Amino acid sequence: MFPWIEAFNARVASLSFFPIIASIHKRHGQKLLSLVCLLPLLGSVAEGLMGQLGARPWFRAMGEMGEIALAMLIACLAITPLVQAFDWKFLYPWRRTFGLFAFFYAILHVLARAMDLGLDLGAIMEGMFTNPFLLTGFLAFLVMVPLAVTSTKKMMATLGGKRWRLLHKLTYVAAILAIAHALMAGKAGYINFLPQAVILAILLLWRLVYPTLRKAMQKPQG
Amino acid sequence: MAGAVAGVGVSAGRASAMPAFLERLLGRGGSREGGSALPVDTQTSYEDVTTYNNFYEFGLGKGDPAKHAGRMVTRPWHVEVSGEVAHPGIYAVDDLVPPRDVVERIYRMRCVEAWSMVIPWNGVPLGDIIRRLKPTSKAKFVAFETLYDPEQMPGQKSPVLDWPYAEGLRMDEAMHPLTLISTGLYGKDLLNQNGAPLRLVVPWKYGFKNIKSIVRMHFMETRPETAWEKSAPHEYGFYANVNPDVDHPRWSQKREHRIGEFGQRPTLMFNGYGEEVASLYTGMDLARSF
Ligand code: HEM
Repeated sequence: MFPWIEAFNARVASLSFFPIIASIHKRHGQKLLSLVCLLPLLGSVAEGLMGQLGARPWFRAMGEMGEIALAMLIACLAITPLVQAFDWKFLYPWRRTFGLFAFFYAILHVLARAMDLGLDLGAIMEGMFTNPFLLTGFLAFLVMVPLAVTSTKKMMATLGGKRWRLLHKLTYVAAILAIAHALMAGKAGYINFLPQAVILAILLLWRLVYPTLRKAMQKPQG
Repeated sequence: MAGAVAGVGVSAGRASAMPAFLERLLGRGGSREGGSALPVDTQTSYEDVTTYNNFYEFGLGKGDPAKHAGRMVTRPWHVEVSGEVAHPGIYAVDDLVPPRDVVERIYRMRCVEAWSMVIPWNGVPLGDIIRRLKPTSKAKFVAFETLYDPEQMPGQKSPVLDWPYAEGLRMDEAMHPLTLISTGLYGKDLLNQNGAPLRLVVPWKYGFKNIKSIVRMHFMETRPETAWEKSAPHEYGFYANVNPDVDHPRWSQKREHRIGEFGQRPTLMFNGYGEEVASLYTGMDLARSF
């Protein structure tokens, strides 16, 4: 989009070790990324096995898993703007990985909560549809289900690119619900999740202004 | 009343055959042992009492106070007593809370965030302290303030609350024999993260009433504003009595997680101290005066 970005990308591509990195990314990129995405879980499990999760281990694990789920969701949403801004097309496949891991960690978040509540179904369901804090979390989770289900190439083909892209705009809905949920969590959640809220707002804003921006940038060239 | 948990039996912590990490994850279990209708109260471990804290002056994380409170200097320490009182002045801790008067009180502590502990406090009933200070007939409330010193309390550099932390009690609550000014727990001096050198303990109210590291007591005719009330008046009221029937706007107060146990247990009205304190609130709508 900007000439200096093109220059920067060309410069990087001309580095001597670039072909090696590019080929590793091509062959193993997805596996490596998945491994990285699993690290937070491994960290929490290790903490649990060492008794390091503190006085309320399941509650702490729930918080950690929720935070990672939200982070993955934001990472997933950051890909398209990054490609648009920097022309880093190699990032595209990361989107699916981040999205699926967001769902994975959301499941762990809900499971950890179930353990925190002693698997008591009454306590788990209490307020789920009436308490805005729980309802937003529940809806965020619900919205992520069709997104995960339609994440395969096969489903993409079945739905057709246009419908698939429209459906997957729901990622933004999931993220907005999840950030609302996180901001309402805990005694001072509104303080803890300000950075995530700001990043999400910037990403949303970018998607809104990008079409106009692109047109404006293209005009001088004809 | 000294030394007793009102209402429910207490058993001291006991050894378990489980590996430590499993006991952490699955709890000590047996909370209903002995065929008691109500879960038995087991003292929370010293480790948990001193490492799982809310003390936003040292950070928002539960482990932050234990990590960062060490730098606070608690001796010498003075408390300013002012307002509607015959003996105002600046008191050293030992003069205000004489060590020879210290008793042990094992109380349940219910945090507004729906977790709870059982803590053996050492302290002096606030009523005894106040009687010596001789409040005037105009004193209807007593307000407390925590130290304000962002150098020692780095959390005060961010505007999480309107510092310094402030709390208050109605005079009859302050004079109630269960209300304690604590200087220690488990027979040891309070650690900084627990509010050294002196803090309030009001066992039938949510934990945030139990103001820590007190530097000021002010007797007044009108109701003082408290820090959490100022920050979110629809969520945290002046009374803050433990009440399973009045939910926090964002979460239920019906149950609580007793630290060290697996799962939840029912929350008791007035945290189980209703027999002693319910009469303080007769005629009041506790859903409105929450
Ligand atoms: C049925 C669905 C869900 C339920 C019942 C649920 C429940 C909860 C609960 C009980 C908390 C703890 C609140 C507290 O700190 O007191 C929480 C926190 C949180 N949840 Fe969820 N949640 C759900 C779905 C989600 C989803 C889908 C996401 C993100 C994608 C998410 C992200 C978070 C985050 C970031 C926090 C804050 C964690 C922290 O304070 O460290 N939740 N949730």
